[in-house]
Amino acid sequence: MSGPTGAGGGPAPGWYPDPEAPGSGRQRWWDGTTWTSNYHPPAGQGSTPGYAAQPYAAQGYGGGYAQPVKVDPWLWQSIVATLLCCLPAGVVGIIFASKSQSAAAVGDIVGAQQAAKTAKTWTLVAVFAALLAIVGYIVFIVAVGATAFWA
Amino acid sequence: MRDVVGAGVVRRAPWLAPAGVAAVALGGCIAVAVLDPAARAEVSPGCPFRALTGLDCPGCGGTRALYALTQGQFATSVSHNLLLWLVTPLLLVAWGSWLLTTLGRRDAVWQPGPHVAWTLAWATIGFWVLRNVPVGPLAWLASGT
Repeated sequence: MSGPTGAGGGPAPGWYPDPEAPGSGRQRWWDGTTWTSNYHPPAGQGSTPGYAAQPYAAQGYGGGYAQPVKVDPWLWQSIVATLLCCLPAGVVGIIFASKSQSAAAVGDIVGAQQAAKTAKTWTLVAVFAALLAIVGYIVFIVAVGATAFWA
Repeated sequence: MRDVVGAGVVRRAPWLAPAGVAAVALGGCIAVAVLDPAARAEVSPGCPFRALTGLDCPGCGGTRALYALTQGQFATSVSHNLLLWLVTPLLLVAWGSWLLTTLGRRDAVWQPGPHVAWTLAWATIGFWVLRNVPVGPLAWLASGT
């Protein structure tokens, strides 16, 4: 079985038009060496809402008429949130981002999207909790400062 | 080059997002270099996790590490937060690939594989635990004073 064409210098793992169903728009996962039994319905059928909106979705045209699907795992966002927000929620985000990467590596796009969504949730929890803590701290400082001023 | 994002959605100047992130990061670095917030403990909010538990979080010492770096004190910087030094190069590469991608370089897409992701996850957790062990060489991992 031949690999997908047009990916440039050795086809990378990704979703490509299924060579066994040409013209159907159906996509199949190419793991970098061989075709797997993971299929993806033609784009535009709305089976996985949101995947087309991923910013990485538009890269690397497989056969010229369909796009490989890329999931943003929220890895970098969760790492930055962990370092800047200092909250355990950020680490949970990193773990789910890693799970998303593992799922994407074996072609489980739905699993990758679910894990990425969980990673995003935990990352945002860390960010908003940290913002809340900072706002609370500023209010506290201002209140203490006002009390000291009037005393 | 088409800037196709989704179904019929065309984003104008997609490089504005990475450029904005860089501007915010650079602004933060300059602010830290000028203000030295760690030396003004009475006004800087500090780490909420440390305030609650008295323990270092993975990001503790990050501001001090950044300030030491802007002063050219590399050894001090690394000892304040080792993880920052491991993660920042990867962040820079990821940012560069993101910028090139938004400029239309589809071949520039770089996303770390699962091995890199899991390594980062376990490095963060391991660093968090080990830097709070005040024994021998491990004490060096703590954010310090």
